[in-house]
Amino acid sequence: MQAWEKTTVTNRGFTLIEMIIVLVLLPMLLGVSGSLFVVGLHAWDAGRTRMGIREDVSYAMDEVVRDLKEMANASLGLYNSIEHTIQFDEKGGDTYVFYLYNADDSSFDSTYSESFYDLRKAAKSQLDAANYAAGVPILRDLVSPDATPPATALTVDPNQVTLDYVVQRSDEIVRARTKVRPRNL
Amino acid sequence: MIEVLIAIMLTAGGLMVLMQLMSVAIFADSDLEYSLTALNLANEKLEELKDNDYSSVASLPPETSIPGFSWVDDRVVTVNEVKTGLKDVQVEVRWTQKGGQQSIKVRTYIADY
Repeated sequence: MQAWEKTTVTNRGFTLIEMIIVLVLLPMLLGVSGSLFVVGLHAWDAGRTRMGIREDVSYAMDEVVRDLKEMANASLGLYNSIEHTIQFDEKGGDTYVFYLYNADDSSFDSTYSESFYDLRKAAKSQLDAANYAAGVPILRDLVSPDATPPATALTVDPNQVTLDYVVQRSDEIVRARTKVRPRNL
Repeated sequence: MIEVLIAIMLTAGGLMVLMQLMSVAIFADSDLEYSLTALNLANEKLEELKDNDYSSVASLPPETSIPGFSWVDDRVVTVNEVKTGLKDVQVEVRWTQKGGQQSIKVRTYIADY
């Protein structure tokens, strides 16, 4: 009889009040931590998007700055007077053009009516209105220069180029700007 | 009962640590982004200065408003003529982040040639 009583005491289950406390606390904890986790995941996702944009912007900035610093001689200017283009003579090579491209644009002019553009680099000899997609892409998803407020801008002063990149992916926007003065001017 | 509460506390603790790590990683990315952009803005000012005549390269009052970069506190140009025909040019870009002021400085020499 004594042995039976001892067994009953040792294996007793939870009381109703204990179960209620646990059943109230556990969903509360899971709810709070779950929603925090979702917020964290969104922030993580946005962070990864920004990191991707930043890497691309950094690469594009280095690429254009290096080309312009090393250009051959005083050949800096716009391509066919089109805004947001940069024409230059590559050291020991051809004449090249940096320009903004969108496949839906009907023609190659200074009207940037699409929302986003790619920055491309092409040999001038391969580039014309009929072959607008010549060259290689350097940076994608640049916000149009004609956006409100104005965004991406490639401007050429007599001696200096201003590179103002505004890139948007999802809701993330990264802006980077610098100036380059070609060394051989 | 006590075992269940301990398990809940441990789980909560583990989740807190995980979220803390995520936030550290996200802020580290953000720090790098500000630093790189500030570096580009400092280089921009250096290139502007290099385009001037040697005689007009001089210290400038802090630029407190840079259009498109409202997070920047200011950009300061300090010029010292270290000897005749040679100027030491420093450009510092400062911004406030995580409650403290951050800055990046680039330096070059401009010669009167």
